[in-house]
Amino acid sequence: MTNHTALVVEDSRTIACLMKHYLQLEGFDVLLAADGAIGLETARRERPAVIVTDLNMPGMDGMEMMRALRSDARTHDIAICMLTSDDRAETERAARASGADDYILKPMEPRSLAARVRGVMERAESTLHG
Amino acid sequence: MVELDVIIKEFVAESGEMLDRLEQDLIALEREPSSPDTLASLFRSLHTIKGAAGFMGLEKLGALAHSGESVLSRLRDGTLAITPAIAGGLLALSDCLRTMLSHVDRTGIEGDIDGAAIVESLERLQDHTPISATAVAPPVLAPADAAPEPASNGHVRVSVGRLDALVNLVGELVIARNAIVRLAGGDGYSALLIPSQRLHAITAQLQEQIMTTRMQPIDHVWSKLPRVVRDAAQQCGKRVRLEMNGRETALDRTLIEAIQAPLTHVVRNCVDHGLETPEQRLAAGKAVEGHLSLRAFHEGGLVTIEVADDGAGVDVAAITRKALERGLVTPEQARGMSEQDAIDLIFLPGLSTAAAVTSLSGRGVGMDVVRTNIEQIGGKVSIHSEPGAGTTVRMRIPLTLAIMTAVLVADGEQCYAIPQANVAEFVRVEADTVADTIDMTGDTAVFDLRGERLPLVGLHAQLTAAPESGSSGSPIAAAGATIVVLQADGRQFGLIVDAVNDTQEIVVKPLGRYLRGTAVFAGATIMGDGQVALILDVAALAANARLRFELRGTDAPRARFAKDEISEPMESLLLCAATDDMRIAFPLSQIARLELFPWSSRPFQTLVHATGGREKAVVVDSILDTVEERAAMVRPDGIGLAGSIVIDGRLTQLVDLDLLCANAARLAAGAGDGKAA
Repeated sequence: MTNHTALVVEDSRTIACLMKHYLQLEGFDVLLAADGAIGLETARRERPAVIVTDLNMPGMDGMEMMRALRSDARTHDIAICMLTSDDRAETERAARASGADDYILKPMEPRSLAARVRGVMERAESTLHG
Repeated sequence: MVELDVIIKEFVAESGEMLDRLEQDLIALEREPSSPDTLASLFRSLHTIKGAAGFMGLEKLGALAHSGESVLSRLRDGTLAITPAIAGGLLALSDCLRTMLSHVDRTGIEGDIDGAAIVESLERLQDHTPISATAVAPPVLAPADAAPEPASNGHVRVSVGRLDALVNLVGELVIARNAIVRLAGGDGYSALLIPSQRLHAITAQLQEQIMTTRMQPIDHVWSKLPRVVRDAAQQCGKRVRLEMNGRETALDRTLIEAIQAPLTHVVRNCVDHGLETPEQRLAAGKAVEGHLSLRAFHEGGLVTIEVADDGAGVDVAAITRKALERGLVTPEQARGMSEQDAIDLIFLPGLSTAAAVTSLSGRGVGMDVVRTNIEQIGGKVSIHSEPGAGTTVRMRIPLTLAIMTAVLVADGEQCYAIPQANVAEFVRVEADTVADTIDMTGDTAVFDLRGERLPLVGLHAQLTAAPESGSSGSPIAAAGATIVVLQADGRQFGLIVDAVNDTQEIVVKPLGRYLRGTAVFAGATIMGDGQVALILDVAALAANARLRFELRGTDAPRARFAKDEISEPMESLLLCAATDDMRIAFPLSQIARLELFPWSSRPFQTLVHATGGREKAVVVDSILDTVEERAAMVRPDGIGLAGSIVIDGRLTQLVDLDLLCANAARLAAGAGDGKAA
């Protein structure tokens, strides 16, 4: 059975809520987490197909969470999209080095964002199984 | 599936919270200009709004938040120093964002609100405010994610609608419980007795727990006050330090909403009228900065909120003069007034105390509106003032509106509930004393209550839609009268009822649409026996009866100034039935616990009194109720009778358990009030 679960790690309730809406339209089952620590725990427990995470969050931030996910056997193969308004090249480089499969700049039209998340997940799946 | 309108609501709510925090942080920043935590928190608030607005496609909102963010980033980098003008600009920006948000909330779009002027003035302020070398130490650069608080996994977000549904359901459960407990007390259901008592206790706990879930800290209202104080102080050129204690004190969210307006008004009043200008303060030898203190705490099942300033105190002479000028009191009344009576004149409608009507809190709406608002939610307001030392406004409000203690009265067969907060006392006038104590002034009957003249209203007359007859005098003369002394808007009047039945915790239900136009009812409740009782709105009742408190001359007291409630403490009494249908009451504080004592075929209800390590049980026929009474212990007779009071319209012996137990032997030999075992 294909895993259709997406985990959104985002401290803004509005953005989390919006992403949930559009990801659901894309056919995902959506889980929400308000910061990196909760995200990490949820990912370990639920093993979603894809994680969309904010960079700046209170407590554990997106970068730190990604590194933890990548170094854990249970979660190292989950596709990750980083979502941030930080458009500096060095931040993107750091994010990709920490394990981001995609780096999406805010703000983005939510519908195309959802489509992009699906794309990231499908690419990750084909690399894994194909 | 998450609906889009839900997302809009979420966005508006979240952004509102961010702006609340932003305002608090700005005010904190003015006190401590280089706090990196505050700067980081400020930045994060606007950043969150900007980010979410971008996603929602709300461009103007996003742009406005962005311009604020750039000011904040300069403050954070230390290239700009905070000034009152910049703080003011950011607060104006916050106001503008709020206006846009409320438009978004109503219509889903931003509307044509223009933030350009604010953006422009912020830019100007930045250009003309170079950083001064000495004003601000360059703040330590704080990461934007300087964790405000660790997220907790032990919490679940529940919608308010669901909590309201739970509160309503537990209300229904309480009603059903009351019915069961009532049945179990009757004959033939003895097997139900113990289970029904457990049901009683568990329901009470459940109710308490569920009510707690809907409680919110008072900080939800208080967090808006620093802004209010700041703006008011700036407008009247005063310097104010605001101190808050008891932010976490919780009360029902419906009440949080209800106290917002009156509390804001009181706080503004304190800054506007209570505190002096810096010059006046210096001249009086006080600190230049006025001190405004807010305190909230739980006390005896109520929440007390105190707003205290260290200003000049209420100008009693000025108030009395104003009240005389406006004909609110007669010179005779003014002469007879105590200082506290004069201070309480502030609560009269139409008395504005400021020498000049200011834009802040003048305009003739004042403390009378505050009092009306607080009384509407079953609360009380009082003012204490000390010349030269300050004024304290004390508000005492119930924890919840959903459940209240009510006195049940009867008009014929029909039962009505009166909120106990409105009930001052009960008086029974026997037929033979009617002529001495009740007289007719015009068409209004007036009762002589310990020298005070109390206007009377007949419940039946009010309910049978005969307002022009005012109150009826005829039924009184025939059979005496049971009078419930009620207070509303600081005035007292007597309500003539057929009988006073009981006091009970009632669950307040809103009225059906067809009854809502009926002014004298505040709601309805369902009694333990399934009967519906309407809840009387005491203030509306007084208004409906067109009670004229301000009659002519000295013989018509305009208002009986309620004496300070705090100086006359209410005593909780346990009301019991004793032999020969006699009623006795014991101070609850003297009772250690209640016990069913197995004795021959049926258990006896006993009250256990503990003193000096020894316990004595007093047997009573049955426990009727607990009541709150102003019960001064008078006339000690040596055997334990402490005096008599009227409870529920019936003469009740008040028993001092300490004395009673000490004289157990003597009592057992004689009096029939109870037996000591």
